[in-house]
Amino acid sequence: MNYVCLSPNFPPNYVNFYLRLRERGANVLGIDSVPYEQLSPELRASLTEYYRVDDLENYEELYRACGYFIHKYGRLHRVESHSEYWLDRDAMLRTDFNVFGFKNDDLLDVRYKSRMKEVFRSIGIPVAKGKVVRTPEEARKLIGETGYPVCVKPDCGVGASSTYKLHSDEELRFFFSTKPSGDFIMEEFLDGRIETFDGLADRNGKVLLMNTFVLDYGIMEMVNYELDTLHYTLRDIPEDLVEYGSRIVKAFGLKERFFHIEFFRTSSGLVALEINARPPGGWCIDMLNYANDADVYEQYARLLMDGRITMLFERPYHVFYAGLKEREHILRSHTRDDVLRRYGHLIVQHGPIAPIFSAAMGDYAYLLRSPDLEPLKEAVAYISERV
Amino acid sequence: MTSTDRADMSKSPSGGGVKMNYVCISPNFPPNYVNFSVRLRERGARVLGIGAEPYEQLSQTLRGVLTEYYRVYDMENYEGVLQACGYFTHRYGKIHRIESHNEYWLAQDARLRTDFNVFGFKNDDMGPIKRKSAMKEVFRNFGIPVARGRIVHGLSDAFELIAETGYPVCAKPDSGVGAAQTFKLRNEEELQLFFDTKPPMEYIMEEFIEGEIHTFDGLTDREGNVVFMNSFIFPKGVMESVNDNLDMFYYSQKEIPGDLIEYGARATKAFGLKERFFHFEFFRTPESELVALEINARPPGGWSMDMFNYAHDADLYDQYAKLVMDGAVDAFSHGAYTTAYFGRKQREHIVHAHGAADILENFRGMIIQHGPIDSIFAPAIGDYAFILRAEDPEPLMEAAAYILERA
Repeated sequence: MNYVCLSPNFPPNYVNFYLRLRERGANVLGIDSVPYEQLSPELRASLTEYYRVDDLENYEELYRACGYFIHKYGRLHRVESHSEYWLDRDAMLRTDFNVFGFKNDDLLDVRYKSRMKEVFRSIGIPVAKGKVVRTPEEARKLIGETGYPVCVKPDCGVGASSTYKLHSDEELRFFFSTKPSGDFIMEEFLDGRIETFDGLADRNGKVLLMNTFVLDYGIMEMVNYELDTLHYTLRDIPEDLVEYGSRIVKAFGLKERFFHIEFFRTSSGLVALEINARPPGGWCIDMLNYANDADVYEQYARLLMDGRITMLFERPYHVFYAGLKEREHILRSHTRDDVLRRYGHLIVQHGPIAPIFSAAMGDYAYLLRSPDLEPLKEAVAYISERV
Repeated sequence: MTSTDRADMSKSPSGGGVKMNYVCISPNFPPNYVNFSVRLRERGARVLGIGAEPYEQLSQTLRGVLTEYYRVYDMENYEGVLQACGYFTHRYGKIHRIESHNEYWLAQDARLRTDFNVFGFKNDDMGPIKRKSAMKEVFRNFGIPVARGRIVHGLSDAFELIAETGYPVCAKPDSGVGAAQTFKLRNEEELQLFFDTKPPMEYIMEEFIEGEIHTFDGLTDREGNVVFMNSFIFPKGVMESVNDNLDMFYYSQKEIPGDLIEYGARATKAFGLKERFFHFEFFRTPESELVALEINARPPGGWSMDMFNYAHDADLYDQYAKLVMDGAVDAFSHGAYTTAYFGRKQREHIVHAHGAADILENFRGMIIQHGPIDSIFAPAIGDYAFILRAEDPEPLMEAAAYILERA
């Protein structure tokens, strides 16, 4: 198994994918621009070979690096970086070297929110009313149907970047006079908490592992209003979520892939928001580990090497993520020491978040776990309390 | 760079300062195909060879035009050839073409193109090219007449078909090259023997069509338009040449009949041939009907490329190179001459009435090339060959009577 990954040192917890793959006998071949000496010892131990390029954004260099690996190790079997940012490059390399997995053409449906919406509609999954709007006239026509507020986001964009909630004609005008280039999709604003359907599909598209995160408000609000990032896993996944989620995994042809699908839970039921053909970011894989007493990194390595996993994911715990914004003007009622002293028995991991993720994930995060949700909610209320 | 940019680059690889990386599979074979490498290099391509022959044994000419040669130990070991292409990718960037022009490597060429996302026939395109049954389907779908027949599984299945067609029938491997392991079966006894001894592979069985083989050969551009065409007449089938040890004789038609052009052009579209040489075989029945026999997604073999050149006063190696590099060919005069190929079998029991010296003396003005044939081709196209050319076919027919006469 010749496994190629881009930017293997980022995010840092993904080194576990590469360690586990190497342990199970894969050739793990990394490509990045970071000097080899600066890679962590764990990562260096997990890589069979590291090809340093001058610029990871220069496709020609990645392409030639893969040529080198083919020359030295033979056919490439996987190109997988598990990161939204490298999804396109991964697919381009797979296309150019005929490697298993999403190719350029397969990626369009998961990259463009408008196409995503089409696929959701075609399999009878409710979606927010909306479409790509190119002019204020088109936008006003849509708003005639939906009313304010509406949500605008790049048709092809990652996370909540350049995503706005518009409440009035004035804000709409402002948006069009300042909006970045590229297509934007406009949708009715839905009230409701976010529930996700995450997991891992096997080579035939069968869901092997599932999980649901609940977010009481969206990433957009977290980013735009400097809210703390709070979400938790469910032990019992609602049936409608399993039903819709499984249908979506099939429709998008996800195979031997992690996925992360977001829904709104509205008063009238689930509404599909978007699908990501990668694991949920940040510490989410570690949350799956704590929720199941598992090593998902290792199970993924088994899936690749043997075509199957070796455990059941039964979710004996709830895991709660509390990512706190640490800004000068945000004052907390309780110090980190207070938190650890009082809730140390529930806290399974805590630490700072890489600055690139902190807008969405907070600056300093705690993971807490318990079979029951109530003590976790109480602890998180304490942790996130502001003066 | 987006994937679209890459595709565009392979469309106009000579533009934008990107050098065309052209991988030649087995560039030293057959020897006359060295001309492809020569012309491509002259027109600015980077010609990269992969072969099993030691570098020192390549001809001086070939060594002179190859930018680099990667020697593998065994051309049949796909992984090794793949790794060679990996090396070229690492060293020179995107590979723009992978081509052998050789029937034997067609499937491997397609596999490499698939694995390196290179312009041209990929694995999925090969079904109708490699399998005669699938080929027949495509001909039928495009309204081109074919011999009645299909894959037969066992004796009783064959009887059912023969009930429709009658004897003789022709049995050939569904996926096979040239006339190897092809049989004409005249009666039940031969049919029985065939099934008792046939190799373990799928066979297609067809009614036997009487007639000469008329080919439609040529070259298509990147959009699939025919930019060069040629037709040969084979008075005796290749199968008979192999099985009955006959000499090989074929000649070009100066003017290609309208029905052949019509069917031929339709077939190039049907099979999606792009920037490729092709070689279609049809039967011309005694009633002057055309029946499609098979398609080959490569130039006709042996010295046929050279016959193209003599018949059309052109350099088709160079025109191909121009097509690859610039997307177009030059204007040239189609059918300036008639050319004929005479490949004589030289076996102990075969005695020709006239020796080579007599032939050279007698037809000095018409002989444009002569020489020995590689032993691998000899069963099909003879051991020693002459190409003659003339403005009209008549003198060539007289020469044929003389050259092929046996003592």
